[in-house]
Amino acid sequence: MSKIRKISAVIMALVLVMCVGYFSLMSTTSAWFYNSGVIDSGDTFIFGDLSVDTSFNTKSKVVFNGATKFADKDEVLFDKVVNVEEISVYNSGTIPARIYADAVNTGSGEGFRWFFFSDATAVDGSVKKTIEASLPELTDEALNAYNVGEDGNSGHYILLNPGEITTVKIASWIEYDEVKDELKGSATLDSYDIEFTLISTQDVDGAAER
Amino acid sequence: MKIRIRNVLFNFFAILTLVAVVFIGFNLFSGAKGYAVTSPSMEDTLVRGDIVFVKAVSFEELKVGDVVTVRSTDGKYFFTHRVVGIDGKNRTVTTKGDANNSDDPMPSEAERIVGKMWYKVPLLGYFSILFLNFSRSTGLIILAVVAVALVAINSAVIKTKSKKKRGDSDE
Repeated sequence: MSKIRKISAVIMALVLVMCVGYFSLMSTTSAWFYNSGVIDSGDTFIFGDLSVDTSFNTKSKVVFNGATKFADKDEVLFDKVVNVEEISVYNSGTIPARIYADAVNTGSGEGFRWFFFSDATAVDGSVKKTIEASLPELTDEALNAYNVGEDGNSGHYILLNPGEITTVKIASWIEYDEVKDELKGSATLDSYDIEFTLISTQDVDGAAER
Repeated sequence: MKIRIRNVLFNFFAILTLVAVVFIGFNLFSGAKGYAVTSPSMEDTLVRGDIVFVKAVSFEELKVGDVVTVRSTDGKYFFTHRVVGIDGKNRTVTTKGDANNSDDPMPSEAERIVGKMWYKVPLLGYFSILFLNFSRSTGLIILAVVAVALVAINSAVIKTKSKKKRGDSDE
């Protein structure tokens, strides 16, 4: 009798572990979007709860020290005048998430451009070199397609695994050709109110919405 | 007294195993698919840690108010939300999480609807949530190690007991 019991105990343990395995390896289901979560100090974007409210906005008065030309390969001072906004991003959720970015100038200044990247894709610590390495050609169309995609709701994203923290960067500058007349009268470009937005979504295409 | 406790434990695990086997067999036999809920977007209908079991239905059978599980376009992810609109012409449904303020931003095509919620079981989803940080193969290895450990502990206990018995009879 006790021998039967011993064998059945072993079988029972194995079956029970298999049952736990059945539940453990089940697929998960979640909402489509991450919530904007907690924003502290203006430069940190933490998310994890799932909802459809997804974005983190920060408004900055950006003063550019000068204008530049991103398409000009001989423009060696590009990195000197570019403004780089750094935002710490933390995925406190349980599934991988994409981070998309957006930057809008609500001020009256012309020639505003931006570029979204992280240290993972940075080249030699240079924004200019990173842009050159990231775009097929140095045109506004290519820059726009890289930033927001042709549909306006895709573009470059940074993938963040659960528990991962990283710093994302939004570089912005003013295109010289669009403000050269203005620069004749004034050396300061200060009519730029920039709104930076980060959007967190599940790791699937079509989930970003600007 | 010790034997009594052992018997109670044995019977408890025997019943637990039987219930688990019957439950899993029932779901496999009925064709229901289970998904562990990881987010609060469907609270209070579904909460984190629930397992929602869904059964395949035809697009025509769907009604506004049904809770459906939808597969992402790449098939890797699933979300479970309530149907708030049906577009029969384009064969799509608009969904919304009960706890969300707005509809999901894109409609879901009929082909991506895995099924309609049949029933839910609370708490069991935490097994899956606990394993989210591991890959499927790592999860299987952990379970295999646990199984072997349980069998080894069982054998060790039996050996110790028989040694003790032998020792007692030698004296």
